[in-house]
Parts: sequence; structure tokens; C-alpha cells
Amino acid sequence: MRSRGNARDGSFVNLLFFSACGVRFAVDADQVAGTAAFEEESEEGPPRLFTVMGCGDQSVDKRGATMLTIKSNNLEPFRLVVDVLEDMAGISVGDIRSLPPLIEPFALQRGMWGVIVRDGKLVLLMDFQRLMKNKGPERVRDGGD
Amino acid sequence: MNVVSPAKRLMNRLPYSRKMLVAGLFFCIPIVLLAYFLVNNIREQIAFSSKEISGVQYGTALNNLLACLLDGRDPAAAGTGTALIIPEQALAELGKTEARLGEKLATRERFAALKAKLTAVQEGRGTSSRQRNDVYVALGTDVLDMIVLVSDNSNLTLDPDIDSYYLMDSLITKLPPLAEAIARADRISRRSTSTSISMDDKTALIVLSGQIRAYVEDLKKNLHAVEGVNAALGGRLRKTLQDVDTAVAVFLNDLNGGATIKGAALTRERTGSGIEAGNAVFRATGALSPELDQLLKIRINKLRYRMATYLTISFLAFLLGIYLNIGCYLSVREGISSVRDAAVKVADGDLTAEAVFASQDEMGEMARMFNTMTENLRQIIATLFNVTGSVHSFAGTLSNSVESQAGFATQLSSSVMEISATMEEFSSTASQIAQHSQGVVERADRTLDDTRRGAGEVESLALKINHINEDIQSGLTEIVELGRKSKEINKVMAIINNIANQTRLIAFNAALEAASAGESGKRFGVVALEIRRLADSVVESTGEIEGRITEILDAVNRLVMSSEKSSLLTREGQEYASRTVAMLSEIVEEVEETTDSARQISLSTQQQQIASGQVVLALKDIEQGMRFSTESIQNTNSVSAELAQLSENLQELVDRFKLGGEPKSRAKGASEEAV
Repeated sequence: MRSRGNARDGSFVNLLFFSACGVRFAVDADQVAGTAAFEEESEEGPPRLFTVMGCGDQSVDKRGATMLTIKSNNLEPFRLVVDVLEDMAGISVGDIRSLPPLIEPFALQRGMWGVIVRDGKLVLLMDFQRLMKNKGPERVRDGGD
Repeated sequence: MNVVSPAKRLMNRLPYSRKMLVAGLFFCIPIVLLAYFLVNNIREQIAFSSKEISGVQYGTALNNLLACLLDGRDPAAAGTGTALIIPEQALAELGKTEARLGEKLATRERFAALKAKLTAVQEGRGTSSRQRNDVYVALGTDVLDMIVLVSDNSNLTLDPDIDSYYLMDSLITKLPPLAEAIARADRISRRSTSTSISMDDKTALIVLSGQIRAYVEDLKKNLHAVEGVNAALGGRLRKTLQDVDTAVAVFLNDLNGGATIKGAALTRERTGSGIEAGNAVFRATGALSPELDQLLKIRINKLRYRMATYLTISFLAFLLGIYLNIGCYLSVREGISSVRDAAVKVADGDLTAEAVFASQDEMGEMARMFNTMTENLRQIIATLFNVTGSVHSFAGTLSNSVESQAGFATQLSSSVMEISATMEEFSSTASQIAQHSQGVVERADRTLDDTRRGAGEVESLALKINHINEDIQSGLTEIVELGRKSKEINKVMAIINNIANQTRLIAFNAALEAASAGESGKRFGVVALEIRRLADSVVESTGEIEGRITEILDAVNRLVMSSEKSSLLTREGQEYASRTVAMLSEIVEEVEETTDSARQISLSTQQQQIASGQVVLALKDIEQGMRFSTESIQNTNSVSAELAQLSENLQELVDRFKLGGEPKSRAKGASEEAV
């Protein structure tokens, strides 16, 4: 894994791969503070990623779900629930593709800023910081719109 | 044959009428030519004789003139000092004759000279007696020469007949010189009577007497020759010539007995005998001329009669030839036309035609032979007509029979072929049945053995089923226990899985921390990655184990259920095995009976197979025979059809002939029967 400075120089970036509702995502590992197993004893808990993104509350299998603790510069860290943590790997910046101009404004509102292809499958790049900025921490804690 | 071939080819090109015309023409031409030559020859002879007549007429005129001249020398008739006596009448007559015949006898020039001399003599007055006598002698000589010329130019000297020739000779070369010699002798003798006779006169009288005797002798010889060929003419001339002979004998006697010759003076009586002799000569001349003229005319008449006879005979022969030629042509044409008309009718098929020709020649014989041939042909055609009708009838009957037979043969052949095919199938089926029955027997035997062995096996099976049932029960217990233990393993694996997930999360967190730490956390990141991979492997392994355990549990459950079912089935199998053993015992007995029956069936089917094979062979032979028979019938049918067609053709040919009467009706009856 490369250093953070090297990654920003344009060579590589460490991405954390995960999936939610069958959709594969990746996020810069610097935005994630930690992971923890999701406990389902209480009703109150961190929101699910799809809920935060405004894509509806799709029922998912909670078994094996993982909570991601997202770093925040001015706010206290918040947590999101994803389905499965898949991998963590360094990806060449050159392999990152931008979103199509037609959907880019809507995608940026949901925290999606790019796309890469890994193992023959499409992986959406998430920016939790942008997502938090657009949605707000309270709304994120409340679980969406 | 080669010489007459062109004539044959020419005649072959011409029709019969032209053949007859050409042949008749070439046969008539020689007759016409012969008649022409004969008539021409006769005409030449007539012209020859006519010219002789002209000579006789001219000679008569000359003799008259000569007589006048001889008379003019008479001294008593003309005195001295008087003009010469010219016989005007005789000269005029001679002039007329000359005008009529002079051109023909070519005497113009001599006549003109004679006439001029006579005119000169007539104008010579005052001449003496002697001179006048010499003039007369010269004139007489000229007349005699002219007589000879006329006789030459008038062909008298070339006369072909004896009587006329000797008459001509007497009339031309004997009598005139005789008269002139008598006249000269008489004149000399007259002159001697008045004066004394000179030696010259005496010599002349002697010579003249000799000539006169010679002429008389020649006249006698000529008369004798004429009598030899024409007694009548000789009889008529004998008296005249005897008078001449007598008168001349008297005159010569007078001359011989006179004083002139003996030196004595002559008397007047003596001189009268000379005149008488001259007159007798001229009378003889006057008698011979008509006789000669008559002979020539008779000859001309004979020639004309001969010519007319020739012409008549030739013309009649020509007419007769033409007549016979036409008759021959008509006869032959009638024969040919009769045969040709009959042949044309026969060629058109009318055999009733006959050649009607009653000639006895070759054409008639040919017509009769043609009729005989037509009659024979009519009989042959009639017979052929009947035979053709019968053949046509038989051919039709034969064709119908053969067609029926062919139809039957075809049906029979088809039936035999069907039977043969059926029997072949039957034989094949029998063979298969025999084979199958043999197989049934063998299988029955094997079945019997198998059944016997099966019964034993089933008994042992029942025992083994009991053992199996017991084993199943014990296995079922073990399996249930295995399922329980597997569930316990599942719990352990859940724990392990939980631990592995936690380890995995820890590894992710470690990796995140390592990533946050930068280069310092790089090694730690590697360790975290390995731990995460290990945790992933554990999770995967536990997942697989969990899956396998789940499968084992499912299998155990199914095995338990199966074992329970097997136990139940085993028990049922025990019961079935017991019943099966009992049934197998009964089956063995029945199989033994079945085997015996199968053997019997096999033997029967084998016998049936052999018999059916023999039947098939026999049917094949029959089929082959039927095929040959059908082919033969078809050939016979075609031959009979051709025979019928040939008989129809022959009948059509025969129908062209017209026979008339009975045979044709019989033939038609036969043809109708055939139809």
C-alpha cells in the first residue's frame, strides 16, 4: 500500500471496497476511521448507506453487516452501515473514470464522484465527506430525507 | 445384232403408227424411184424414136428435092440457053420441114447453104448443058450429104431395131445414091445417043453400072434382113424392091447392050429405061419412108404402152402396198389396243376385262393368251380372296383368344406373383418363427434354469434381506447420532465464523490504521492484510464447512428417511420374497410345461418352414413358367395382330380387283365373319 502523499501525487489511492444492497462501492480509506460489526439488538443505530444516499430503505440481510466509522474534520465521526466489506487495495488514479456529464450533478449530490472497473464489475467511488456536506450530520443521523 | 441395234433403238422411241409410217415410207421410196427411172428411160427412148421420125420426115423432103433435081437434069425437059429447072414445090416443102425440124436436127446452116446454092443455080441462065449437068451433080451431092447429116442427127444411124435399121439404111444410104447413080448413068447415056461417046463417059458408065449393081445388091441384103425379123414388112417391100431390081436390070441391060458401051448409037427407047429405073427407085423410097415411119410410131406406141403399164403397175403396187400397210396397221393397232385396253382395266383391278381380237396372227394369239392369263389371275385372286377372308377371320379369332389368354395369363401371373410373395413372406415368417421358437425353447430352458436358480436366489435373498434390515436399523441409529453431532459442529463453526469476522474487521481496521499511518504503517498494513486474508480464508472455510455440515445434515436426514423407508421396504421385500419363492416353485413347473410346448412348436414350425420353402420354390417355378407363358402369349398376340393386319392389307389389295360374281361375295362373307 502506498503512502498517502504518494497517492495524492497521482500515482495510487487506497480504496476500501464494500457492497450495499448488491451495489459495489469504494471509498478513500482516509475517510474511514474504522470498522465494526453491526449489532442488531437496538432499533436505534447508524443509518444504512442507501438510506443516507436517498435511495430508499431497501431491506437487506443484516447478518454480516458492517459499520463504517467516517472521519469528519469539524464534526464528530458518524457511522454508516454497509453490507459487506470486501477489500482494501491501492488503485491507479489513471484507472478512475469520471461520471457521464448527464448524471454527474445528481450523482455528486449523493456522494458519488467516479467509477472504476475491478474484476470486470462496476465500482462506484463514494465521497462520504461530500455526502455529509450535502445531507448534513443530523439528517445523516436521522437516516436521510 | 449390233448393226440393227440403232434401228431398234429408233423404233423403240416411236409409237406404233409412226413405226408403220416410217417402214412403209422406206418401202415405197424404192418403188417410186424404180418407176421413175423406168419411165424416164422409156421417155428417153420415145424421144429417141421421135427424133428418128423427124429424121425420116426430113429425109423424105430431101428425097423429094433430090428427085426434082434428078428430074431437072433431063435434057429433054430443059433446052440449052434456058434457066435451070428448080423444084419450087419440093424446096418450099423442104423449107417448111426445115422450119419445123431444123432446130431439132441442127440443119439450119446446111439448109441455108443448100438454099443459097439452089438460088444461085436458078439465077445462072445461059449455061451450057454440060455445065448445068455439073451443077445438078453438085446439088445432088449436097442433098445426099444433107440426107446423111439428117440421118446422123436424128439417130437413124443408131436405130436399135433390125427392121427399122435396115429400112433406114436402105432409105438413107442406098436408095438416094442409087437414084443419083442411075440419073448420072442415064444422063451420060442420053448424051451418048446424040453424039459419039467419049472415053470418060464410057468409063463413068462402067463405074456407075458397078455402083448401081452394088446398091441393088445391098438393097436385097437389107430386104433379106428385114424379112428375117419382120416377114410382113418384107412381104410388103419385096414387090417394090423387085420393081427396082427389074427396072435397074433393064436399065443396066440397056446400058450394057447399047451402042454407047459398044461404040454404037443409043436409041430413045434405051434412054426410057433409065428414067423408069429412077422412078422405081423413088417409088421404093416413097414406099420405105412410110414403113419406117410406121415402124417408129409402132415402137413409140409400144414404149408409151410399156411406160403406161409400168406406171400403172407401180401405182397399183403403191396403192396396194399402202392399202395393205394400212390394213396391217389397223390390224396390229386393233390387236394392241384391245390388249392395251384390257391391260389397263386389269391394271385398275378389273379382272373381268377381256381382249376382244379375232385375228389369227401373233397379236391374236397374244390376246388369247392375255385372256387366259387374266382368267387364271382371276381364279387365283378369287381363291386368294377366300383364303384372305379365312385368314383374316382366323387371325381375328386367334387374336381375341390370345388376348383373352394373355389377360388370363397376366392375372394368373399376377396372382402367382402375389402368392409367391405372400409365401415368401410366409416362409420368411415361418423361418423367423422357427428361429424364434427355437430361441423360445432355448430361452425357456434358460428360463427354467434361471427360475430354478432364481427360486434359490430368492430364498437366499430373503435371508439377506433380513440381515439388511437389521443392518439398516443399526445404521439408522448411527446416522441419527451423526446428525446430532453435526449440529454441534455447526455451533462450533458459528463461533469460529464469528471470530473470523471479528478478526476480519480487526484486520480492516488495522489496515485503515496502517494506511493512516503512511509509510510507517506499511508493514503493519501488510500484516493486517495477511490477517484479513487469513480471516477471509477462515470465513470461507467455515462457510464451506458449514455448508458441508449442512449437506451432511441434509444427507443424514435423507438417509434416515431412506433408511426408514428401506427398512419398511425390506420388510415388504421379505414378504414378497416369501411369496416369490412360492410363486417361483409354481413357475418352475409351468416353465417346464412351457418348454415342452415350445419344443413341440419349434419342431412344428421347422417342418412348416421346410414345407413353405418347398412351396415357395414351386411357386417360383410356376411364376417363371407363367412369365414365360405370358411372354409367349404376348408374342403370339403380337404375331396374331400382325397377321390380322397383314390379312387386312392383303384383303385391301385383293379388294382392288374386280372379279365379279360369286368369289367376291364369299370373300366379303368371310371378312364379315372375321369382324
